[in-house]
Amino acid sequence: MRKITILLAFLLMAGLQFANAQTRTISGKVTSSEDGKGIPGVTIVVKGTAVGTVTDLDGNYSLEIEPSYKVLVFQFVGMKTVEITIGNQSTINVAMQQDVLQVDEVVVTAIGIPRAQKALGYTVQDVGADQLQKSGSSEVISALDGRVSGVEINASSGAANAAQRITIRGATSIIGNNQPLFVVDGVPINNNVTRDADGFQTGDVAGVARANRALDIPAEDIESVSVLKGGSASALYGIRGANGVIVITTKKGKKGQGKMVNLNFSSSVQWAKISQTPALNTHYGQGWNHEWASGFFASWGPKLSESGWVKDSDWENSPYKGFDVDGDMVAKGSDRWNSAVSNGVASDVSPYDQFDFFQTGVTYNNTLSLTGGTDKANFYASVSDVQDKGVVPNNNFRRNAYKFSGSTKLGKRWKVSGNGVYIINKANRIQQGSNTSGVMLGLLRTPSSFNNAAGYIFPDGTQRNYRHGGGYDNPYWTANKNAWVDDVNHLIGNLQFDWYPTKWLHIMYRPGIDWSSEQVKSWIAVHSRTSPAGRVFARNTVTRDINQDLIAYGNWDLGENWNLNALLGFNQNERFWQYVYGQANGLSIPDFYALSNSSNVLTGNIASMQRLMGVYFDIGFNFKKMLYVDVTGRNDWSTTLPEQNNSFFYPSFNASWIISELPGLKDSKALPYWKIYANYGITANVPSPYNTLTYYGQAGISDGWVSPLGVNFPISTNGVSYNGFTLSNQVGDNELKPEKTKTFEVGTNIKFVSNRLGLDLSYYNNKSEDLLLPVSIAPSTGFSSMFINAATMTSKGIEATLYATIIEHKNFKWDVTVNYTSFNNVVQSLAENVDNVFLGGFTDPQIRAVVGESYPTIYGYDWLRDDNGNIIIDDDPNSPGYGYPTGDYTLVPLGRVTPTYIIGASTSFSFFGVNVYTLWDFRGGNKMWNGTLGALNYFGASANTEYRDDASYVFEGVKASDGSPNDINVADQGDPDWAQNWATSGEGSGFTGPTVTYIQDVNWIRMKELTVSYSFNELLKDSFVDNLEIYFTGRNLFLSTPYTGIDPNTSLLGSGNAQGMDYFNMPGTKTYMLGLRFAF
Amino acid sequence: MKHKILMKLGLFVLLLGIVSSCNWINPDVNISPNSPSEVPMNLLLPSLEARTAFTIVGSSDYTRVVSMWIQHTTGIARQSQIEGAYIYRAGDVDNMWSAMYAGALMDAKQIILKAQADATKSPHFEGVAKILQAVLLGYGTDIWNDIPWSEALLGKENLTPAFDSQESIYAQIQSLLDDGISLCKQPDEANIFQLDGDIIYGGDVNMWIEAAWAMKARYALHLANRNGNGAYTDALTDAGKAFKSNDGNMFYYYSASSDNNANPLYLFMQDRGDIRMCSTLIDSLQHHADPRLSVFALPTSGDIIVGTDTIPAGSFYGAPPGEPITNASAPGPGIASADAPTQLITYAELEFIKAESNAALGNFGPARDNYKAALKASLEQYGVYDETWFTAYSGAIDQIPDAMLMKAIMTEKWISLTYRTESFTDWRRTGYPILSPNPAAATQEIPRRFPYAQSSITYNPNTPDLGAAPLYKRVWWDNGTPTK
Repeated sequence: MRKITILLAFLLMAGLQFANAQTRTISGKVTSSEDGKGIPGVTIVVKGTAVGTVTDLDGNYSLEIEPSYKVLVFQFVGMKTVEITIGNQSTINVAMQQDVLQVDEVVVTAIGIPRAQKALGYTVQDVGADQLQKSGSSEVISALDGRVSGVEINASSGAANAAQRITIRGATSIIGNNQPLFVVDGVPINNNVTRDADGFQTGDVAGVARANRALDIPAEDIESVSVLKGGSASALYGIRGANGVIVITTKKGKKGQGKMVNLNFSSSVQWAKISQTPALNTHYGQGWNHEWASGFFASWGPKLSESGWVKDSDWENSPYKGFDVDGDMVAKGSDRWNSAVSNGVASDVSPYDQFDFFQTGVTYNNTLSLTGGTDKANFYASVSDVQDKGVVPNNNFRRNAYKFSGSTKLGKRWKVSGNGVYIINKANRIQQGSNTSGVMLGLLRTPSSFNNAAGYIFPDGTQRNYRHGGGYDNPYWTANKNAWVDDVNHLIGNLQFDWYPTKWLHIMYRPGIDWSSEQVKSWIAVHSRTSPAGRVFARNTVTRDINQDLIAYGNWDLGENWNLNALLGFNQNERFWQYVYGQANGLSIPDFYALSNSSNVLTGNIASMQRLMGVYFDIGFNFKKMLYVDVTGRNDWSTTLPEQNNSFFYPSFNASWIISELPGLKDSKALPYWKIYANYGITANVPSPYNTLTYYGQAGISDGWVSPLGVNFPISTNGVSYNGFTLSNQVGDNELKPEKTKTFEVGTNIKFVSNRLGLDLSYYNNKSEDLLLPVSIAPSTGFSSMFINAATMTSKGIEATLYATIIEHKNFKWDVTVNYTSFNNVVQSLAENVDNVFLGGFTDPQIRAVVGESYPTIYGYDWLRDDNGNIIIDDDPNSPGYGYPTGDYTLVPLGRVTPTYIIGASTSFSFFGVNVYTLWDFRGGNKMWNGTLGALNYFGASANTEYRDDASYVFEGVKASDGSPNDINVADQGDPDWAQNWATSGEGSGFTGPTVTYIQDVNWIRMKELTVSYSFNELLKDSFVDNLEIYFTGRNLFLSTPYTGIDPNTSLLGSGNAQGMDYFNMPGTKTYMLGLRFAF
Repeated sequence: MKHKILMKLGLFVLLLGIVSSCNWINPDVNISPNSPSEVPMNLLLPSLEARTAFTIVGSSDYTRVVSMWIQHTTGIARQSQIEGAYIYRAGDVDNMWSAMYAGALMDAKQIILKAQADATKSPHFEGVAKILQAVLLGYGTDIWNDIPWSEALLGKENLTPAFDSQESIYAQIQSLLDDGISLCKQPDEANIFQLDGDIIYGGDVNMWIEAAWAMKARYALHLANRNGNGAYTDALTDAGKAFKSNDGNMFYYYSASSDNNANPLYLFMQDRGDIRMCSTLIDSLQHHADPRLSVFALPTSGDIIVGTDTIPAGSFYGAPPGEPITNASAPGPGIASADAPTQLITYAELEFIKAESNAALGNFGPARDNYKAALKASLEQYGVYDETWFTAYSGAIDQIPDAMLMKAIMTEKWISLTYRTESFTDWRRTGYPILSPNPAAATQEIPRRFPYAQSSITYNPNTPDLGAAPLYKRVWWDNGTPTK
């Protein structure tokens, strides 16, 4: 409470100093010295104050000033800052010079206050609208990929509108959210994947690829994105800033010149194809022991080249005639074959390409925006429509967004503005992953001799698949019969009231809301493998985040050389979500999907509420615009902590020194700019709600095989209804305190050779302590976990951005930018007796946080190895394992999931209006579990298993008895089906053999983007057209990786912390886009 | 002036906002609206019974796996094929271990604590919860040997509970059953809350008392190799106080119409479907034209080619261990229909307990009678009692020489207790039925226990180390002493 009192006193003081002074208007035009055209969006600030304005679309501005205002400062991205003494002038026109290397770049930092890049003692990297547009992405996260150092972005699935994970400088939390806070126009928004209750949970190995809510923000409406990386940068955002902050500034209104309204139109069409696919066995058919078997689960059957289809009377009378449309497979030369040949009912076998299932995806993206205004008021309005037809049939997505933002001045000291975007998403998603109804699971396991496309349904409604209706769903069945339809309504909006009571004080109140409603209806048709009796699930979720900030910001010149700025803020934040669901199991009427269509309906509702209140300050000094020092502090109160621990304070400090401002170095051509900076800060985070007590819950009893089915209360049996509750497996803790991350960073920004070459370098060292996590405990305690403060984790890394203008000529320009990221995120300790924590996965493998290892780590089984790490081969001739390696069934770490390096390298050539831009992505040092390959080896369905008839097969390793290199040939031990036995019941099986066999390197070189654009602006210089541009963008056109599955930019468990698993994930895509931008 | 008014107004609004927020951080906000922190006993009992039945006694993690080892069933694909070849690891039993301790035993403890509290004193609830704890410990110790109990279920007070010896666990089982019986015998008036929420016996405490005696008989018999004749006489005494017909069968009931309360094997066959009935069992049933064939097995779904013979669809055919024959007979309605109950203990088993005890004590006449009664109970339980067949079969039982009687009883018990873990215990105790290992298994020996759960190995250093071949370490009562 004391801090609130101070704030009040501050506000009252501010009021008392209010003075009604004489004002006048000053106006003018800001042009580019290069072409004389007006520059829109130039920031004009009265030096030493927070008073200012922005130029309109044609570069015009007007500003009301008071006699005490002496100097105007003109700032614009890419231009050199200009300072003009006002004197008696009423018109001030300025020609700004291009500053290729953007020394005086203005970035939007905490709370939406723009500050000169050079004043910052921490790292902020900006991505402008032009860069976002080049990506061709309709959402913001993947558009950032490769463009910012220190950032790792992972797609989860090639499905339409699938979640994207973003992390900045690794992780700070073990099980909590590690993704940065998204802030839109100063208001934090919710970036969660909507919670589930039907067992197909986020982070579950099965289900559909879901979206995270930040994907809803249309990329076309974004003016710029600032990535705040360090803890010091984000301290003012409070607890959710611990993982960095993505500050999104959307487009705002601008005054038009000559016309009241300017119109922008952009349109694109994109075609998508699946990219890398796993290699499949096309030489052997369905069956076992080299024999064909109709309906059999695996592809250990006969060689296709030695077999043929027969449609004789045997086949005509077979109950499987409908399943095997090609006939019965028999050996060529057999009696049946010969007689079939003579009767004309024999044919050759050629393998089917199962990937024919996928189609060419098409995405249409259209955006129309209008902007305009007067001196007093302006607006920006846009409508956009994205229609995405995925590569999987019936996987589609549509997003319509309507945005309005407006601003008006009320008198001289008040300004009111508002922003709102309303988004409507509709999607149909398809089952994927470890799921008997998953598309890739059924598709890849199908033997190449079976034609899935020859029909997926029989007239009686039962399913046609390669296992006589059992096993897994035919992918066509999954895509056509099962569905997951979601409908999202999403509003992000804020109001902002700005008040300038004196020339040095600015008070701002900004309430904001992020509200979304998601309605899901999903169904599994009768005769589907996941739920043969059918299932309907419906759920409505409402998420509402409310945030308000009240900020007082002052700026004072203290004598000639010193400047002081101070900010005092008050924040309230409330996050609420609630869902209501119903699930009907066992459908009375097939193909009718409503909750009424079952005698068995489960319903439920879950809600969550948490609140936070914070008071914060930021005080900065600078000396001669050369030395900057900044101190911040924040005290928060959170409802999710026990009452006695719910208040906590965390400070930060940062300093920067612009060495090139030293008298001796000033105006040097060779080294025009050199800054060094350092910062230290603490960020805090709080537990999720309801972890301070131990609760009971309604019981849902299942096992790992049939989940979510089992005994789900309420139930009715023998005519009696029962409800059932059970004590939670997690014991609460009434001693919880916030987790804290200490961050330290040093860095430098250098520009050489007349600003044509630049290097930004930073090093950071973060340590997170008292991390909150549910620590697994021995179940014999009666609980399986306890939620406590325990773990410690560190993250160290280096980031570098190198940029160069290699050629600069009037009509020809070549720029290169390289972003380099390298970090190591290590779990230092977890809890007493606990050296690892489960994050997600199967019994084996799992993704875990492991003490002493990089976070997160793949955990699984290895082969028995000697002291030198060689695999030991059993060389006892009497042993059944003679010639084979042996598994070591203790779970061990098998590799890090996060890359050791990420490089995003782009080059841009411009000549005569044509621009060619390429962005390359290099990553490596990390591993992924190719569980798909493991399973396909078991099924004999991978190309790997075509070695089965090789005359010689010697496992790599050393002999157990003497350590000499293994030379035992297992293929000539007299068992013709040795490979099948090894891959199915032996340790070569992906299901039970050592996991390490399927841990693969994920290094990649990827041509992330290629954009060729042409601008007609030179030709249309004197017409009514302001901008006309056409472009082609290709994404993921080239990929080189040792990973043998699908595009390894994937994650079975979606955008959660447990990355690094691929198990029948949807393949990635490569896309080709044609687009047009038009403005008049 | 206008500005001053605006300013004051603005300040007032801000002040109001701040003052009103003083209650913004209210500790009540953090009390879950979704989950209660107190629940009455009659809402804990249903989930305790369901969890005991679904995740322990009839579970796909336990019963399905040992049914493959004991050759009631066989695995034909994926994980089941591998488990049937004796590969079963610590991580595979996590579900069951956790369901037992952090689920059923802990919920039983909550019932007991409430039933003992003065304000809610209810000895019947306490008795039933103790009987169920005894049953859970019985199933647990028979598959894991030493398990935590004396230091278990204490939450944060003891994060590393000691493992009690199987011998002391058996003593605890008998003592909990004794407690349960005396608590259940207390008059209704002594209960503040009458027994309610009981899916197994519909709140009938007398049935619980008889079931507790049946359990006492079973767990007395298990120690025959340790306690000798004392075990048999105890078993006979206890069995005499237990229920006298199939009406007393201790069943957890599922519903036919719902996947929300369905038999675990039914759900497994629906979702995974990777097991079939084993030739060892099916051949034996076919050999005797046993009417239970169609109870335990479904007709084959397609033609099966065996050598030069074709076995047409619609026949009964058991897959030999290790042979992945998709078309072989799947589990039948008696064990795998949606509403096939989980059988905790049956009258047939009780008669088999008496038959084995009498045979072991040399009372061959009564043993034959018990044997017949057991067979009849099993036929009646499944609704396939056939007078003619039974009479003929009874005649054959009379012809069995005394020396062969034990083998016959135990083999018949193995058939009657199809898809029951008790058969695995019997095979380990008595060596019957005589089984050959799955020829596809790398280790040519049938396992004799489960490994400890990975969660226990990882988080409790007191977990005994079973060495390199945990499945072949014997439990304490499995000491190799041959049955008489």
